[in-house]
Amino acid sequence: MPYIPNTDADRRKMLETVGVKTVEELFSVIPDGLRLKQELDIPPGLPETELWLYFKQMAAENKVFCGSRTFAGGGVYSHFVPSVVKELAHRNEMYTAYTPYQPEVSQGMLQAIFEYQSFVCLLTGMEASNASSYDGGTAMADAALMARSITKRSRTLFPRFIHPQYREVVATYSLGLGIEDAQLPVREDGALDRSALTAELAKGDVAALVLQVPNYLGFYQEDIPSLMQEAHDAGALVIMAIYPFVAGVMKTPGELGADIAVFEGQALGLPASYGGPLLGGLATTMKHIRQLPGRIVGKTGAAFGREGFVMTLQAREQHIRREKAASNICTNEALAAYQATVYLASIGKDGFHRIARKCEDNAHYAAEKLDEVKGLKRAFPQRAFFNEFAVMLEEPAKLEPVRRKLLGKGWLPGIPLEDKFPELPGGLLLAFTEMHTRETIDAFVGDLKEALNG
Amino acid sequence: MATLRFAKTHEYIAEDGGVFTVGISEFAASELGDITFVELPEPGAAFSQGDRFATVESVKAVSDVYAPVDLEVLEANAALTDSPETVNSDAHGAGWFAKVKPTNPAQLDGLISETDYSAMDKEAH
Amino acid sequence: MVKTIFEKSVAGRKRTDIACFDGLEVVSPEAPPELRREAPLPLPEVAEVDVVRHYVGLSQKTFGIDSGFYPLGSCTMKYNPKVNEEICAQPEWACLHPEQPVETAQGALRLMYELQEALGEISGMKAVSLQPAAGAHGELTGMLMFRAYFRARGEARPVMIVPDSSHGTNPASATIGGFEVAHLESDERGMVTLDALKALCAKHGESNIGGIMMTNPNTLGVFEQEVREIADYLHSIGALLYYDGANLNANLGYVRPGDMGFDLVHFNLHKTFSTPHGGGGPGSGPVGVCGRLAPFLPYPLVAKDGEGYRFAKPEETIGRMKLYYGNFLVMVRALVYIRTLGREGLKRVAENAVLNANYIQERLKDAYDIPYYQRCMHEFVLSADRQKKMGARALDIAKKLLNDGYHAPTIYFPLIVTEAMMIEPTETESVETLDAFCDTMLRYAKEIGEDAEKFKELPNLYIQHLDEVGAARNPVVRWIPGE
Repeated sequence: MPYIPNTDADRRKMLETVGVKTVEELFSVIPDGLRLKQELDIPPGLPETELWLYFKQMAAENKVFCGSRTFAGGGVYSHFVPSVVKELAHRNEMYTAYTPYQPEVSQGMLQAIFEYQSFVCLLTGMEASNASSYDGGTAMADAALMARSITKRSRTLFPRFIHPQYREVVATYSLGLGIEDAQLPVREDGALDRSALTAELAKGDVAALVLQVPNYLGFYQEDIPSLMQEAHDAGALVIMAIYPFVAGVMKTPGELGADIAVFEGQALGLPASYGGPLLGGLATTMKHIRQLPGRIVGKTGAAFGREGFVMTLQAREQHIRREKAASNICTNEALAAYQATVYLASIGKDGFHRIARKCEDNAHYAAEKLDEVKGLKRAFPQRAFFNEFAVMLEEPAKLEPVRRKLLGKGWLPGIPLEDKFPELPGGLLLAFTEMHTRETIDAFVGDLKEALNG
Repeated sequence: MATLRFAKTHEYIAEDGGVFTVGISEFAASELGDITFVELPEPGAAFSQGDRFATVESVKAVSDVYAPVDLEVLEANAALTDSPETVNSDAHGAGWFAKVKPTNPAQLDGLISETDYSAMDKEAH
Repeated sequence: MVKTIFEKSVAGRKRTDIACFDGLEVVSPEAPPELRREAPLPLPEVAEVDVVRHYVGLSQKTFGIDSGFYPLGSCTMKYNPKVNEEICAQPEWACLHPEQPVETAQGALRLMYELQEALGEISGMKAVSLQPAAGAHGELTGMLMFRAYFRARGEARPVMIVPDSSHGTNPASATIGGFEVAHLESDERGMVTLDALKALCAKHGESNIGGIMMTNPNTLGVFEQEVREIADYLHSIGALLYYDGANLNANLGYVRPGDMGFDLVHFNLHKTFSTPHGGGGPGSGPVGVCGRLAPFLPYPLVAKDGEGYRFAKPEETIGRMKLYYGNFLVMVRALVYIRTLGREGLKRVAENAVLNANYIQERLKDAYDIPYYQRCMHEFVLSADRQKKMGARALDIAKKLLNDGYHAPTIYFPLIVTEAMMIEPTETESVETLDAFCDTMLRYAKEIGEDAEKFKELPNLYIQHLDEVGAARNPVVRWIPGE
């Protein structure tokens, strides 16, 4: 039997010690009426060669668009993952370890998480990070709950172009607490409707204003300092969600005055993974550290004058506070956090900033090229953007056939927007990373032009 | 000289010249082990006898602290934020939690006197 | 002193260029001036060979299942098969983008559909969502679904009952899900009884009871004998039952939570289904439900439609619990595992897990107290009370095990046993490993009796007696540039 070492001889010996004749007898503790009387309706086990065939066949039903052939972003990006990262992330001890509750034998994982927390604080300009949340969306929900607990108010304000799934996750989490959130509209040119913000703040009970920079459509939030001021004056906190690489070109949320920072960290050395596992980043100031959900690793002293790492402030967590815990999170995304740590250590200071600039540069080159294509226009041409932007087809009905043609040529041509934002008919979100070259961008634009007009 | 009276749940209320102070007993502090954090109520907050009005954290546990009588909080001991260990070293003195005003003074008579509390078999609770 | 990667940084060190960076100055010409970063962030600058040595060094200071025996009760630390790892790393799985058109990801949808079906069959549940990212996430999903179900019926049922033996995530999830927690005491066998339950329900008012969160076998490793009667009673008063799937390893192929009467089940793929713990995740916590709760499942689910697969949205869905579909690459590993074992293999898992736990219990029962001694299932709890009287507590025994190359069992849980040590060997250990562990524990009992102070010495642990109090009073949670 796979992965079960016991032989019949072993079982006989153990049964004798236990004092029963058959293994079946051990299950006599289950009342007869509950015992399963038939076999599970699950196919028999496969030997290893057939296992590979089975899964290869299934995998062949997927079409993969690796690296330079994909322009899909929306929080999950195709960045290059160096070989050294894949190898180090797969060290047996690290991936088969449990949560480091016994610090004496977990100093490696604990230090890796401490380093992850340190990287997060650098990228977000914050002072305390957790050891990870499930993803950017649940990290946003955690941030909203934190803000509610800190301010003792209940509402969260979201600008229109936040990642639509972030709002959905917050809404689901709010079901337990019976709270609704409010959306802030934008003007024609994509800028936030400031009067709407002022009106919502005036209604009161606002725990937090959320800003996503760049937003789902890839452009920067304007007037951040004055937004910070207005929110803070009204007693609300500011939660800023970022894309990790934007910290290479933009000031950090901490430098800009945010109280809580959130991000989706998949871009940091994880494959696209069909959307999971992902990596939720959540960080705040030391002032709010006791409201921060999730595991936190601290550095401390040990016997013989040595230094080490432990999980700390555990009194916030479920295994101690039980029904009074701020969050129920137990297992998180530790290995993904470790992988992100190795990735950032490996690309280093120079790599990080240059990759950020390369993504930005590729996107701006593509935007120029696309501006020359008849039949489509950029959705918000006045807004400054980072590595992602939206275009709209002048004839929305053409989007589907154009996408099909491009898929047929082996491109994953970005994310359609109309189902998420009805005010963007024929909209397509395009993301660019360091995997693209000017040649691949030219080729894509050429094929797009042909599909659209040819 | 302060008069201490105790609740069954190991909180004390001390009276010294008309000023009432609330904290946890030395016994409670030693049972909790090294205290790492104390969460105190806001001045102005009102509690009924038996309401949770503070919490004490140690490394592996969180404990609730209950109001020994109906009271209103006048001042919280800000020094405990930086030095929670004071509760361990001087629970009945510098480790006080809050200065309070009892809003139902008759309840004080129902509490346990210092002599009786010392004699009490605390393991039973 | 410990050196983090940041303290190994030397200005100017870099790796090979990832892409062509020619002509790219570090300061962005495109970012709005008021937001533009002028000075680069002080990320470390370390040569690749030193990065490798640093993280290999950290791995060597970490104990995983691949390092040694890990009898951590309630965690099911079974062997993580390597074929699972290799398959899910293939680009056809790993490089899929969640927003790519469904027609280009039929393999992925098929995998999720098959896993939904398999988990449903194993648990006796009608419908499954794979979206929750961990057990606790599944618990929260369950609590939110219960609330939605009651709200749809116009009922306010604020109370959720949690046994005193439960895992901490249960009451935490119930609270965040909007319930008030009511604690139920176990009896002298460590079990939940119908009488105690009825009394508690009467105390709160039967029409206020939302339900109970249980695991079976419970955290003592004991099968809850009255579970069917409990389910019938709770259903008769309009309440629901939640099954915490942490202990499913003991049930596989023998009994199903659906047949026990549970309405909602969460699975821990990183426990029962062999996916790696990763030092604390990523895991996966799918939920399975009975028919009447199916409309409330989170979306999207995978549905089969003629020859193809598509995403579906249950009519009264509670919404999304997280981005996209769940921890997909963890699901790949779990399905590979299920296909490897097949229906026969799953039964053998339960049999050997239960046999191994009973064997250890028998070998240790004279030297250690076992307060709820009875035929156990896949785990049991012993108490180090006797040893404590001689001068060494459960904590000391745990640390000694670390010193001697084992991972310690779970200690001080469940709360109803003092000086608790919860031992779950799993089915993937050989009897030699079990015997060596028992021999060690028996030797400890003897040594504690002879000289408890000497016993507590930990000569092999380089790092010991970490100052957890100091870490909580003055948390140092990051490397600070310039310090």
